[in-house]
Amino acid sequence: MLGYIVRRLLISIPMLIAATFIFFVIVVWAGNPIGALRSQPGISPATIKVREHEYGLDRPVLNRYWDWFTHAIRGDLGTSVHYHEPVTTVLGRAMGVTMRLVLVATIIGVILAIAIGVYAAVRQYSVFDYGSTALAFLFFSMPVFWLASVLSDLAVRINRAVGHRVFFVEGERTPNLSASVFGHFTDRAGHLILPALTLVLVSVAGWSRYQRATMLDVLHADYVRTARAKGLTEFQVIRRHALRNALIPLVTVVALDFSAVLAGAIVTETVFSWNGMGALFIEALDNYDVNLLLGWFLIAATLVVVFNLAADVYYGYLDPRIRSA
Amino acid sequence: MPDPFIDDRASETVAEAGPGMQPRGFDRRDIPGESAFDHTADELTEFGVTARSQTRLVLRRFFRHRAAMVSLVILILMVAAAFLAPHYYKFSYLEQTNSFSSPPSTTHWFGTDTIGIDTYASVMQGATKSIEIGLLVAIFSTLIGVFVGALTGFYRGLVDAGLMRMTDLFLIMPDIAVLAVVANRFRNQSGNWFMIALVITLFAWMYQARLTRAEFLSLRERDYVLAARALGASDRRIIGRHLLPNALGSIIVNATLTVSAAIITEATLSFLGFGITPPDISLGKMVSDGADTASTRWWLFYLPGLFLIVMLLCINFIGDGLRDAFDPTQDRLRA
Amino acid sequence: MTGETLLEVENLVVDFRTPDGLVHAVRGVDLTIVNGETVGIVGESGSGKSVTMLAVMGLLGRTATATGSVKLDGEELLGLKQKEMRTHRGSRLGMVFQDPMSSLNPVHKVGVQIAEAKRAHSDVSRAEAKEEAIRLLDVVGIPDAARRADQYPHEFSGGMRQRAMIAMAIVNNPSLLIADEPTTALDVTIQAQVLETLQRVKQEFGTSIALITHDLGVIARMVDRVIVMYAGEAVEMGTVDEIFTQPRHPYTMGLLASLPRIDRRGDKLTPIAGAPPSMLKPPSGCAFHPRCSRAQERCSVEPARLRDIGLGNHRSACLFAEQLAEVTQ
Repeated sequence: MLGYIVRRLLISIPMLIAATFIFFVIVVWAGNPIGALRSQPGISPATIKVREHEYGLDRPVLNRYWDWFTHAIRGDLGTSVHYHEPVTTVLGRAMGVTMRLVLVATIIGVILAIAIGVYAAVRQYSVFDYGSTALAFLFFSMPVFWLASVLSDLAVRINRAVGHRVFFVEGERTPNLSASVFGHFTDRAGHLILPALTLVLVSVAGWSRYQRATMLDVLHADYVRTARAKGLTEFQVIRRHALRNALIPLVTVVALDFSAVLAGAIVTETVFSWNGMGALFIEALDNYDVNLLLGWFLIAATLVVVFNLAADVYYGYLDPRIRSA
Repeated sequence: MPDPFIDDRASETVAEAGPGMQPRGFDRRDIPGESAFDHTADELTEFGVTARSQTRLVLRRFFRHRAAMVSLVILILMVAAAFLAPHYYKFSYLEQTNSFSSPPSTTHWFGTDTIGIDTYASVMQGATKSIEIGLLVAIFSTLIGVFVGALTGFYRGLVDAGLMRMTDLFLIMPDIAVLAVVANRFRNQSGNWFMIALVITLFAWMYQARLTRAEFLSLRERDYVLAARALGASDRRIIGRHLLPNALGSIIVNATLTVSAAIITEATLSFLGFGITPPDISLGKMVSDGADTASTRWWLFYLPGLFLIVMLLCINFIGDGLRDAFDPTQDRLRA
Repeated sequence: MTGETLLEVENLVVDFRTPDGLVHAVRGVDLTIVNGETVGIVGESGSGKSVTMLAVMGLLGRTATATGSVKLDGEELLGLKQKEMRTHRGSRLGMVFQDPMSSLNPVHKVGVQIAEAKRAHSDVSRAEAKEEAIRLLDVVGIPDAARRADQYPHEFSGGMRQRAMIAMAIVNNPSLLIADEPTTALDVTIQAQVLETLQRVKQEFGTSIALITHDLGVIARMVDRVIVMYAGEAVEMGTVDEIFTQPRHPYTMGLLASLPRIDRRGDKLTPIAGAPPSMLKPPSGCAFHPRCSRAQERCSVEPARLRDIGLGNHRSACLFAEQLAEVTQ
């Protein structure tokens, strides 16, 4: 087991490095920070040259990457040309905000998905089953940006109809709020509701279907038949035999979906005007802030890798067959 | 807790209602042993059973899937409406009329926007672009993906390992982000929908390649492949005659779902501002533009969005129906 | 008590609802099992042999309807509420299934799964149940039982798994142990071990055994009486000797004739012509008549049920059984 984890770690690191290199190449290829500058009349070639040097555009790609890499290992991700702060600071701020959303949405999503999926499987062909299937299809077919926008609009309408603000629609917290620690907490929690709801609905749509299918597979499995043949009550069969096996595959799916949840969070943040990784990314791209973009990708990729690794470990804990492998 | 498994009475009343996605009350695995093989298209003669051709079997099962059939009809109608709009609808998405921000009416079916452009015409145009992009991406990513996946799955080796590492890499990233960066390049070119489609394809083929590779990996171990080899069949023949037809099911299903995934991706990109540029229209862009005024001018936001969602729903149902048609032995993941 | 009727099945009919119609898996089966005996149920896939025993256990599922009578020690089982049926399942009736790898839960230790069967029917502590489990693993011939009990199924070999399954099925000393193709998924050498285990169970505990299989070799070794099933019906019933030496049904004869025999080298193999029928639309009259070389017009019209053919307890469903006095070596 330990060997398994170590091996995965060892593979992940070169992968991350390779990924950053590819990002670098893509980012460099895809944009030109002084493109706008060039098209302006009256800018002398000398000025352009100076600017080019500033951005490091006059050096070959590999050198620039190596530069970045050697700094990155030491924890220096450069300075953001747009924010004029170290990239690490900017990213750190944004990451806290986004991870709040992603983690809450994932946890709630998993719990709901399991509950709905298992119940739909146990009560196959019931009204609940068909109903949850229909809803799952509906939300699965909704782009995240659409759902977020609709929820936002509905919230605005409700707020208007009721007369005072029931739902928070803008931002991740109330700026300049003077309140106790608890007050801050509830404030942030309140702002979390709509964006989290968006992500939860979209995730649960897919995950609950998967859980249902897995549960059905398990319910029809031979070992469940054996359990029944032993004379256990249906409740015991489901709890001790079916569930234990049915929960395992979901771990893999959630891990694989993590990058999708992250992507969804980016979009959701845009809709609800959060100052998280999403907004940061858009800003960085708009302003062609190379250092920020690269740092962003590094963090995002690392998050995905770490999350997947954690899922692998948990999977090994759940399934004894993997442990001995 | 009551026993959901075996009813107390000999017969059970099956729950009614809901989209009939599976013949009601029947899960193939409820019947132990082989006493109930697939009789659907079998002809019963006095000598036993003879199976009809695979294709007819698949088609018959597809037509049984009610939700898929309804979706197919609706989708065809919507696609026709979108593509034929210039022929039956008075306005074009390019012309500025005199009514500004007017709600839906009999003249302007979906209303107009702030500069007088007819919303219905825009939605139809946006839909055609979405469909074109979706189809383009699906077709090309499938072709490339199947080609690469088949070869790597069949031959394994270094190329396979390298390719798998590469696709692993791209699985690490939030795809929207990378796509946004690449698409940003074409941000200020007008009429860039083709480039956008290409960019999306560049990432979409990898998933299909993985899927095909996985299929081929398992299929190549089957006994009939060994048998074919023993008979002296060439690699090409084995791939073309034995492996590919059996992998076709999952390939087609994935291709269908790629259409909807590509449409969503393009819409999201456009929503964020990195997608389609004028004069082309995207449903995503319309939703993005309409979101700010959704509470006052609902038609600019909800109508394009609903059109998009209904299209996506239909495609997903069809994909589900296809999945069922190709492999009904498992009550598998839907959507 | 040995000799008394343990299981009595009368006119068992099992149908499954499918979108294509009703599948008639079992179409009127009579069978009896007497205390202490081992009965073999032989038939091809689709003959209804598994379904019959699943009906006895009450494990048929929602889409099935079972009618007729199934009496265990005189008590009617068919139509019992689940709560009551559960008291019999696993205690008076034990069942072992075909594929031990998939029939054991991969995430629970083997000892735990056996102990669970014990605790489902008796009020013992976890420790006591575990001791029982270890004891039984020993009985079925698994070496180092105490250590093995703490292992997972994937750490057992195929034969060991099947024996562990047997241990699990007999932990509450059932009157009847049903073994559904217990050796089909195993190598021949391992088969012997498993069959030996069943023999031991029979000798030590006096358990009656219903052995379902399609392998005539297994039948010959293990059982006292044989029931031959075809297309959802019982077509012949008798002792092992009677069936093997004086078969009185064309299907049984066909089965025996199709076996390759070492002592008759050079003979051509004679399979039974045709294919098993679809249970959606079983043939009329005698189910075997489309494939029977001796079929007459009556056979496609008159229903054929197990009947007395003047040979005592050796019964056949063939309308012409009396005329079939052939001796097969």
